Amino acid sequence: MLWVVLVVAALAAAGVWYANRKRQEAIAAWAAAAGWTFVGQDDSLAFRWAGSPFGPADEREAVEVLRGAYAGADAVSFTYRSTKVSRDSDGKTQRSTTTHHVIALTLTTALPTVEVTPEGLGAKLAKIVGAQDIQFESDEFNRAYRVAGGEPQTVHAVIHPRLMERLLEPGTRGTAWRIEGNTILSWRSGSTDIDRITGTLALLATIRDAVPRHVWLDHGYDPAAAH
Amino acid sequence: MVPTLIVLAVLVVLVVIVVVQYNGLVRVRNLVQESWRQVDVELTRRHDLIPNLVETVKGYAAHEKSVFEEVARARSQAAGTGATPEQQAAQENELTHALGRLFAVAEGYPVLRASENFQQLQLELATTEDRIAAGRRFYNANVRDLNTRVESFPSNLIANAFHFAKAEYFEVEDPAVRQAPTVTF
Repeated sequence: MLWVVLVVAALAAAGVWYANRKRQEAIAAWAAAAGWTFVGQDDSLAFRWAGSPFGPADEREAVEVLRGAYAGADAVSFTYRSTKVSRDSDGKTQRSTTTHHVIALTLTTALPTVEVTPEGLGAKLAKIVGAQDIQFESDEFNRAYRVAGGEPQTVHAVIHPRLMERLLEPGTRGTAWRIEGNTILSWRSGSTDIDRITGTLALLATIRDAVPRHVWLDHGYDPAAAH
Repeated sequence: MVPTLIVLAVLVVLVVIVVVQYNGLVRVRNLVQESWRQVDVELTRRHDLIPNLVETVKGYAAHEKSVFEEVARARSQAAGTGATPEQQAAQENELTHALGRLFAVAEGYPVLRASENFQQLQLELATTEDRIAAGRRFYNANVRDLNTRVESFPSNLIANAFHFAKAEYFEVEDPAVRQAPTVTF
């Protein structure tokens, strides 16, 4: 009976190995077709940002790293894995790993943080106990998203009616994104999905291009001079 | 003894609620005032750009006196002090109409439109209009927050007791916003 279990386990492991290899080949093929570089692993990316999903963790790694250019800026896509290690009441080690697909586009200069995340149950419960996010003129937008940022006035300047309209479109609704430092990034649960990369970068570039000139000017960059 | 303690506890809770509500109203009222000051800064920036713009257009179309006088009058009125947000909005709308006529005059002079100085002024004015729009939205968001607290229960009880009043929204005509959407069937 034991040999049956061993054979099944070996077959399962081989299946996982094969599926992973096909996956890596698909990612490498995508990179080649897009003119990007498949770097593999670069754990420095796991420490580059402070906000979600890069919260506190005991172990972090950035794998399936793809680097390239999009809409005139450097871009990166990777799978971020974070693990929390704890001990249960019996002293046994418990490991809890979460995985996110992160896509980021570099900005010309650093801007104040602006974070837009889909309004979920957690956010709704938080509001009940008083944690308010920034509210806008559109009730539909307020119900769809939770907005936070370091400077409320800058947040209002960045999240203007035309951008709100864009973020409420069917293909865009539900996308989490954040401007942090000189990057705009988006993330979702799960490993790298190559079918998402181009569409997400297009959205991030749209958001970047929708930032009003005066916001850039206030942070040392004139987009009009660049063009 | 126990009933006395209960009454005391209830009184303490009520006092805490009143203090929290009062401080919240003060905080939002200060935000409204501060954000209005920011709007005022941007409006002043707009008013300061206009004389240079008028002089540039005059260099090519000196005979369009009525338009220049209209802009100067509207600017002078808008740049005055002491207006409420509603009054300021009306003055800014009049200035926007006057500027619209000024730019209509400029349309008839290709050399003017092509001049670097005029293009730079147009860019600065457009950027300032964006600043005003952003400042206005932030101010109105704070007004919305204050007015909601002044009107909603139970904060309205504190607002009435301590004479907190609703603030005025600042609504100006924004050509881009008020453009009719294209409807297809």
